[in-house]
Amino acid sequence: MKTTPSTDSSGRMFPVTRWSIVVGARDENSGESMAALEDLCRTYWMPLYAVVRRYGHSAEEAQDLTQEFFARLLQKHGLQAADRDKGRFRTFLVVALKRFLANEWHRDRAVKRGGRWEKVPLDTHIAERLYHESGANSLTPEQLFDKRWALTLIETCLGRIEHEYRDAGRAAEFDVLKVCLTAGRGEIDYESLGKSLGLNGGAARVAVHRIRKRYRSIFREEIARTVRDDKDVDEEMRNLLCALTR
Amino acid sequence: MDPSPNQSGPAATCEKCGTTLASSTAGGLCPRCLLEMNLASRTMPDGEPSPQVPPPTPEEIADSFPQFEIVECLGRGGMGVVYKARQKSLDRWVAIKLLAPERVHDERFAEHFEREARTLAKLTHPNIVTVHDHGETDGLFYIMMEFVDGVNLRDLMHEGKMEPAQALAIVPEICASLEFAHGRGVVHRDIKPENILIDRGGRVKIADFGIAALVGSEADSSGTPPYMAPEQEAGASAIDHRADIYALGVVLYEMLTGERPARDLIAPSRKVEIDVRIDELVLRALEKEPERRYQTAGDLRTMVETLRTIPRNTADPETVEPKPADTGKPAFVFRWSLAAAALLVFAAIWVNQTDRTRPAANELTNAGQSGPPTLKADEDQSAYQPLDDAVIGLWESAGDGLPRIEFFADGTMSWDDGSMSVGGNYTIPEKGRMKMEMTSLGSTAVMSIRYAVSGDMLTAINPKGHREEMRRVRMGIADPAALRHGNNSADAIIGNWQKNSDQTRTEFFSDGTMSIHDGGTNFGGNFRLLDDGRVKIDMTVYGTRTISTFHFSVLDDVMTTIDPSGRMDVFTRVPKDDPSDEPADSSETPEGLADLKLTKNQAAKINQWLDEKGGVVDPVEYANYIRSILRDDQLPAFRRISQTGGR
Repeated sequence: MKTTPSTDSSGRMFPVTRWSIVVGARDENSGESMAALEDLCRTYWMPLYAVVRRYGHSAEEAQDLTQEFFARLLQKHGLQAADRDKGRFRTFLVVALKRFLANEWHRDRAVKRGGRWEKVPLDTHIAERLYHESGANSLTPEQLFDKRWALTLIETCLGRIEHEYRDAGRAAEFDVLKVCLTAGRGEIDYESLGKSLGLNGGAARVAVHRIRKRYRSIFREEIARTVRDDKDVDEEMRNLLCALTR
Repeated sequence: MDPSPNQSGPAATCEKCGTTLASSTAGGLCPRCLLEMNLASRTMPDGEPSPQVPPPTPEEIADSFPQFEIVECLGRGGMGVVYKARQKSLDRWVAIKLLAPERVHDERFAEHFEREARTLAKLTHPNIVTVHDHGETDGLFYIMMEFVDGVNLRDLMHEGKMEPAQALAIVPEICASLEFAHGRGVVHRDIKPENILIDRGGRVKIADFGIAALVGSEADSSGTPPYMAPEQEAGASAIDHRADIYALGVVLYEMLTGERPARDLIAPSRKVEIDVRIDELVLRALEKEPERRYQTAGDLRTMVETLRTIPRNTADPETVEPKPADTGKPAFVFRWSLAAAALLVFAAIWVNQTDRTRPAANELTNAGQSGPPTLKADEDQSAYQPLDDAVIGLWESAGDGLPRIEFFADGTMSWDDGSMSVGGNYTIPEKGRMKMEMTSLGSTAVMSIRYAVSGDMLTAINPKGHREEMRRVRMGIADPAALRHGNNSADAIIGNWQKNSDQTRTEFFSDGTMSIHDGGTNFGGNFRLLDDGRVKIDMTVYGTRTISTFHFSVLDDVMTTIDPSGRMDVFTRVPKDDPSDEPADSSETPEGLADLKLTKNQAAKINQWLDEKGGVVDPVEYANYIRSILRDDQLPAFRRISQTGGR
């Protein structure tokens, strides 16, 4: 997991979004641009797999196709300017994938076998299980993609914050506190929460505030990675909430 | 909400939103809730108050400032949090102020911030904390400033108020900074004791210039309520520099009385015993209508300076020529202000509590001219109780090495902040508790601290809980070879020595007293030989006690000294008068000195000295001069004379 600098005390501003690096790069195949794209792809390949499966490919074929799409994308000149001129990485990715599947790119994929895309480790067992858990059959490929995307985003954020707590030697604290991320009004008993953390009620409240604040900050940061402009973060958040609600 | 049928996972649903939950996602939490909470406007669950969250620790922001070593959080205010940091590339200390995120209003903030910060960076003045840089990193808006090693005025007012002389001494420098900034169209908008810093050299530095305007929009009544001018508090759209003058009036009122002015303003002199002329000054600065206040900081400054120079109870100020502040001995006026700052800083940083102070006799006169040096009477060290040996030795702050404090086995101590050292006594009534008594400017501050010594670390804790970690400094001699061959017995140092570098003369007498003659004035004190071969000098100059030490070695008529910081000085013995010099007869001997059995040569010197003085002689200076030319065997007689007050 790549860690990014803490924005604990803000949450309002973000580091330069990674997608904006890809989009904004003067030389579209610059090292920085490609590294940023690869980093994004590694995080969001799972929704791609789900869509490929939804198009009727077998698990084995879907693995190959996802790998190949990945390889194409990361190949020099594989990314056309027109593709990149989209506001969101999510939109870009699904459009590019559909084009890939509709084209005949995959026909000569045997030629590519053994190429660089095999270096990308994708845990297809998990992907397969998640594909089934997504209620895939009732959704259009786009809906499935968006829902899978939202779940991936949430997993990524949870993973990041858990990692941060673990790195700070506070894994146990995270396990106790994580349920507070989704708690609503009056659902948290700060006294008993404090007891299990060895804190008083006030300190427990601070701990809850901290983890929620940090999670929100990470969440915005992760979304910001996939949009061109920070202004789009809130809208993207609402889109993803819709995707999850389906 | 239309939960989708779930094909393979368990059919659990979220109690809150009804979303179907899959076992393997989101750590068992509801993904929809995990997403939705990010859309809420507040961090805590609806209806629950946000706790007061401590500021980010230095470790938490370290990643955002890779070019700095973030050392500690210095404090937090309404505008943000300040950290002490070392700028690695320039190896200098800086202060980094992170603006509070809740102050970052909107997208246009960055533009506003940029504009204001550029203005502030142009304010270069010795009494204004310099802004080195500003910017945004990881969403944190920051201002990088000069690090002021010292204390703020709030810390200095630890008993709520200050001596009037101290209070008035600070005001002109504040005015100077305001005058400068106002001239460039910058209004501070948030003058208060927390923003008035005093560095170790005693210089006043105003922090956070214009930060209030930078953080707030123009119409925002940002500021700190008790210090806000009425028009500022009322949210007037156009406040001007006179709001700063009002705020300074509040600060001055608080320094003098220990209280902030109430709605019905009571003159400071009715609360504390001060010169009534100060009332007029303060009340005018505190006028509710800006038009009735001092119109410029310069006006206020002139008034304060006049008040400081003309002592109380003199005739009508208009008929008296104001005495320039630097008449006479500028060097010592300078030393005086340094010493004052050193003691204040000592009291605030190290101990932070003054049990009692004895005010100087002449509170409103310029202490630099406040009287002749006094020979220090022999201190009765027999009254001194055995103490905890563990503290004896030289200690320096574990942080940046300053201050350095040395506790001597005889119950004296010296405190050195790098620019000035102040001497005093300490006692240990019980192990773990120490009382210190330091004298500066004729005031003696008594402070009580707790301490613990563990190995080579000494931890001191003041009554407010402030801790200072100090490490033991092993006394080393920079160049031992320089001292190898000489004689460093007590006898060897007795005599009159001329320093090669600055021509001052220092004389050590066999009775443990000493004097330094700088060409104009004599200063007296005591010296003592320490077990480790160093000489400790204990002098009081213009009411400030100074204790210092050095190693020495005498070879023939040359004395080499090395002080603990490694500085070496070389002295040459001043030849004594020829002992065979004939005794002066009674006509030659100055009045009252017959007991001394002066030689002709000595008598002639004294007469010449008296002639040069033109008949106006300071008795102590006279005594010191006589002492400087007497032989050792004449001294006991001299002591008898000086003790009976004979001239």
